[in-house]
Amino acid sequence: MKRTKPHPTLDEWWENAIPPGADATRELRFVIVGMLLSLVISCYFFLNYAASYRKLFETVDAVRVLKENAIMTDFSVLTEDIYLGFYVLAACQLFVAIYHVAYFYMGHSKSIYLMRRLPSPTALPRRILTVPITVAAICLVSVFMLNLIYYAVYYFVTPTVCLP
Amino acid sequence: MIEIKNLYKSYLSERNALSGIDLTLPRGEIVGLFGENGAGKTTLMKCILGLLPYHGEITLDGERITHRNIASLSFATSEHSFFPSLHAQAHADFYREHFPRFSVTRFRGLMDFFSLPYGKPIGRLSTGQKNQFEVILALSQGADYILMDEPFAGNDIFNREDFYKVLLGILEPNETVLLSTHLIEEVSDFIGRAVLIREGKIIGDITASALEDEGLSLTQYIKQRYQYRADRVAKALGDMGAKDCD
Repeated sequence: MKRTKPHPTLDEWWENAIPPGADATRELRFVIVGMLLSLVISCYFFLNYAASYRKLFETVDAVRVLKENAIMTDFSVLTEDIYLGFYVLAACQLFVAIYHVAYFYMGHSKSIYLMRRLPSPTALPRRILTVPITVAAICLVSVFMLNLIYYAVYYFVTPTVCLP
Repeated sequence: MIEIKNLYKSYLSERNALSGIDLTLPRGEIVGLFGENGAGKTTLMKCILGLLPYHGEITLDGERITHRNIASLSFATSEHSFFPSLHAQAHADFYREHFPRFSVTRFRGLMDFFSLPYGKPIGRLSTGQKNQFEVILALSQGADYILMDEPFAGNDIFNREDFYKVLLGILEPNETVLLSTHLIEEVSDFIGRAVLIREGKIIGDITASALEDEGLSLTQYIKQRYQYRADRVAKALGDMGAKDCD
């Protein structure tokens, strides 16, 4: 029977993607916290949206009615700055890459000598760049996906006559 | 065979760290590389390993040293090149993953010989133990050419002497060792050839048998080549004494 190699867990994948011996748990925690914070910050869209949505209505004889010629705030205005967390996290990956390079010179050892003489020419760049590039890419994909979701909310919840 | 032809290396701070080095290292030799601090020993080794850019030609069995044949070279340095937070077993796993000829048997044998712990991060070992571990990795990699740069700095004499004996016992006939050290007397019975380097130039290259024929000890040969002036200490002390009297 053919044996298939089990898929690595996230921890195992992470450990093989950063410098050997570097603190994978700490790096992973940093990214997860960063992603969660960025997600929370992006939820500011709902506050912006709710405020703008309320302005579309007025109360006449204790009844809430749509204002005449009311136009919803533009989507780009509502999403202004809400992805800042993701952009900052993506930018931080430059420092993560620098830290990964510096790691090979830390602890009274120059493990860079070993890494540079490995037969695999991709081993060193893989250990330096995999995580920063992956995290930056996840950040950008997250921005894209959230933008789609928020636009769907904007498009389907806003009264059609009020869409700009 | 490693062939070095017309090798030049300059640093910003030092114009000629290596100046026209020509050297051949055939298989199966233990070669001592001697020279004062700053003579160019470490630079030479780093050039061979491709860790420093250089002018000239370095070939391994007729081919330039690239990622394709770099596994034939290993390196033990007093600067160390292990991962401080990894323990010994994790290093063995890492080496096995990257160097197909890594010898687990030799690794375990040497770990036991030095009584080094498997489960402790290498960064927490003593300096002497770190040196031992560095050498163990270089010897276990499965390389044909083992470059050692001051590998025993910080080890006591008993450890060093035992290590020379073990090294002679475990080396295969096709393995070459290039050993840079200041411990001339200690390695004189153990090396088969001595290469002397001074101010980036090779000023001596002699086999142990040629030394024997000339009736010289290694230390005498080195002093001769370095034009060491035996009276310089007495002269310096005399000069200082004379100044005090003035």
